[in-house]
Amino acid sequence: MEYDNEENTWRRPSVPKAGRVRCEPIPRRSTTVAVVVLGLAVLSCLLGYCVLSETLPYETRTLRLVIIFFRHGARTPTTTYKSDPFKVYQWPEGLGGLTNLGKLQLYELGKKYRNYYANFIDGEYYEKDVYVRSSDKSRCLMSAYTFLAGLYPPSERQTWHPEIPWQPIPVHSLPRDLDNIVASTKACNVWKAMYDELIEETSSDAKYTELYDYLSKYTNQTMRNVRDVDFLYSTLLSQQEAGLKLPEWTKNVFPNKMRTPFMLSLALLSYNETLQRFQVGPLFSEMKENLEKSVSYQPEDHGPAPRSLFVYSGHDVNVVGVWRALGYGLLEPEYGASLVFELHEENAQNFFLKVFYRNNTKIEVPMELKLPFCDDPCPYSQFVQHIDKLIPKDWEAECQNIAH
Amino acid sequence: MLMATNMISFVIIITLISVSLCQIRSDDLVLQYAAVIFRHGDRTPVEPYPTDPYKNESMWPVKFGQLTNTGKKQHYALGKWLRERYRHMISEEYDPTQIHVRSTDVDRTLMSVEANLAGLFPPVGNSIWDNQLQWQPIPVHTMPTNRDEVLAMQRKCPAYDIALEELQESKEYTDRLSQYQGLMDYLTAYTGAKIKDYNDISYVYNTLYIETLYNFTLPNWTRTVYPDKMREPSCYSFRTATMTPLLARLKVGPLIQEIVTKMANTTLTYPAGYSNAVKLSIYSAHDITVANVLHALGMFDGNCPVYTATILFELLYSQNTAEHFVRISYRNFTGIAEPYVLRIPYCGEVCSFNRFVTLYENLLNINWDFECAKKNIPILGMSMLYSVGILAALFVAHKIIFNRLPRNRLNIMYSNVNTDTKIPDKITEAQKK
Repeated sequence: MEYDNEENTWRRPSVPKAGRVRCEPIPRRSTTVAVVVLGLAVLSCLLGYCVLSETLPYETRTLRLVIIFFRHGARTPTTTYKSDPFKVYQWPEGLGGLTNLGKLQLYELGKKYRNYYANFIDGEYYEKDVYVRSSDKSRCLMSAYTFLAGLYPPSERQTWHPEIPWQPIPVHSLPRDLDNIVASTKACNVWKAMYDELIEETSSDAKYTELYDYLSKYTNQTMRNVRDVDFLYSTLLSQQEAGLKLPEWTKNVFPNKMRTPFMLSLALLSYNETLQRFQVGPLFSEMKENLEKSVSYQPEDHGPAPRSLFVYSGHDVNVVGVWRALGYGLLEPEYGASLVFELHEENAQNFFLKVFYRNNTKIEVPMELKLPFCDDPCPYSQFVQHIDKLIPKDWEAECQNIAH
Repeated sequence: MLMATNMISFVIIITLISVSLCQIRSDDLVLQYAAVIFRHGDRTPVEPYPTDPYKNESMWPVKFGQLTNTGKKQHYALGKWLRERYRHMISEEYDPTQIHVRSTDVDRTLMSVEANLAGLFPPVGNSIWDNQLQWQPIPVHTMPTNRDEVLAMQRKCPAYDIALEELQESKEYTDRLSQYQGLMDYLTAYTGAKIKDYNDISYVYNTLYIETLYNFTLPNWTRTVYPDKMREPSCYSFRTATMTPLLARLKVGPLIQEIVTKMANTTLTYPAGYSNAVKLSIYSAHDITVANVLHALGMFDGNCPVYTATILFELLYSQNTAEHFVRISYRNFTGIAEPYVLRIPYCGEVCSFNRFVTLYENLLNINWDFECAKKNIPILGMSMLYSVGILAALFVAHKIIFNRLPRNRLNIMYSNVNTDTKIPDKITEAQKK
């Protein structure tokens, strides 16, 4: 796939020009023949022009449904540690708040997707086309809003305020204790037991003993598993990004030595298939339902077309969860990292999926993922077969949550 | 004649007293917390009736039941007005600890409150994140309708359903409804929908009303019934959901409880020093939500809530007497104008917080999950115990705080105190659109 990098946009290859259609030179025999041939040539040129000008680039022509899952933008630290020199630092956005940079990142990402899918996503916002779901955390809700501000700047008709090129778009969410779709924060007993065990295992991992000791010593608090390292790593990272000068002792371990245990900690929430069923299953279930609606839609029936765009705004661990559920390993998603699922239809009823990943909001060319469980391109049925394995029939029961 | 004169002088005296009381107090009252409940802005009909000549969605600017650009403007303007009113209570820059925003999980309410927040929090200073865009994102929390007993008031409650059914089968209810039998038969014949209750009349009334707003010519059959004959039963429909004390308790209890708990938190933390308590709660909901709250509090004036109709619950603090007061105001117009201060029954326009809590015990002492699961009355005893417990706790806490209260420590003035003492009963036709 090529991108029009001169303009620094993500437009798909432009429409082939009609001029490319060749009209054969006419042999000189008789005027009648010449006229007929010339006429035919002109006709074929016109015909070619008509056909080609209506032909969209390959990808857009076959595209039926887009599902985007992203991580929120840059945030302030969510925690602090005992010896933290910035413990009382007054973050203007509070702890765990989305920063202005974070707002911009998602705004830029929204604009990128607007350009990238210019031929697919309607220029005007209609609720029948798009559904947006977010984690209930403020930084995710706010990220979703700025993403949408970039994706759907109001058209002239939809402008409601002459000076504000923005329009309100509904973002749906679930309270944290009910959310097993986006943030996966809903309580689940079986998941918790298995996850705790895995975390515990990392505390006795000889590979990290030296690191734990070093960190415990300098942070003045117990650092004995990868989750402790994870929290510290995130805090140091946001402090560094905010331009604060990290203490000297961090230089030996941050970021390099801490990165792997950090990524491992993110991965542990969805480490194996069982954990993925709880963490990612409900999201996959919703995805499957929406894929099915698109696949079974018959335009001839004149029913309302199913939605063609779904947007999810979540956290790093959720991006990692989906990533792992697709069969991959460790990942460090940056702010605004996004996974995109595209459903395509080639010829009639021949559906397949394409999955892309952008590790941050700056990436121009997305990485196309070759799904390990699937042929290339990945047929719809094969894809659904895979995610089906990760969808619990009854989440609540499988979690062995005690009914109250 | 004599009686009339007496009445008039009585009214004058009462007005004078209330005016003087208010004036004495309003110099001294400081606003500490506000809860704002509003209806979404201008929308298209949710569902036209079967024979509706305008039932083709393409005749409307947006899909059915969606917020229109007019609705966005209305809420943006309301947000600006709220900024003026609460200028001294909340900071100009968005501070996540001061504000909590909640909406029902419906597109038009989510969008309304977003537009409202655009007016309430135009980016200033550090919160400017994009030079082109005079807008910043503010989180709006929501909950699926069928899980939400607080704002959507739609979570399943068997005890409520039983009580509502009982009401609707009662002789009083059916007798009153039977007055409208002729109207309902007429509507059923012409709309093609089965019209058999106040809510059904209201649904047709609402659709016709919106069609007149959008300059559609109504069919001839409507002339004899719309708007006059339909208005009263339509607006009466807003009373039914909270008609009895039990219905009101189960429907509105959780929301009033949430608001009063936040007020109680403020009374406990505020005078003692710097407070992290939320200062402004915003609830974005529907006409029925607004009406339910007003009716449950005994303050519903019988008029249907218009677009952006807003109830303001305000907690005021008197520096002179070191007491907290509740004031409830209501604006039932789509344009921007000062709201009316409502008279809290048995308490007046500015009601002592403690007295307010006692007066609305029936709403405040709810244990929703528990009572909904039970089918009926034996829990009354339990709830009485529960309520006595809460009241005692509040009372004790209050005493403790007030005893060590430093006087006159707050100098935050509240500029927009409405000293206008119009009595809400007089709000009638003028405000209706």
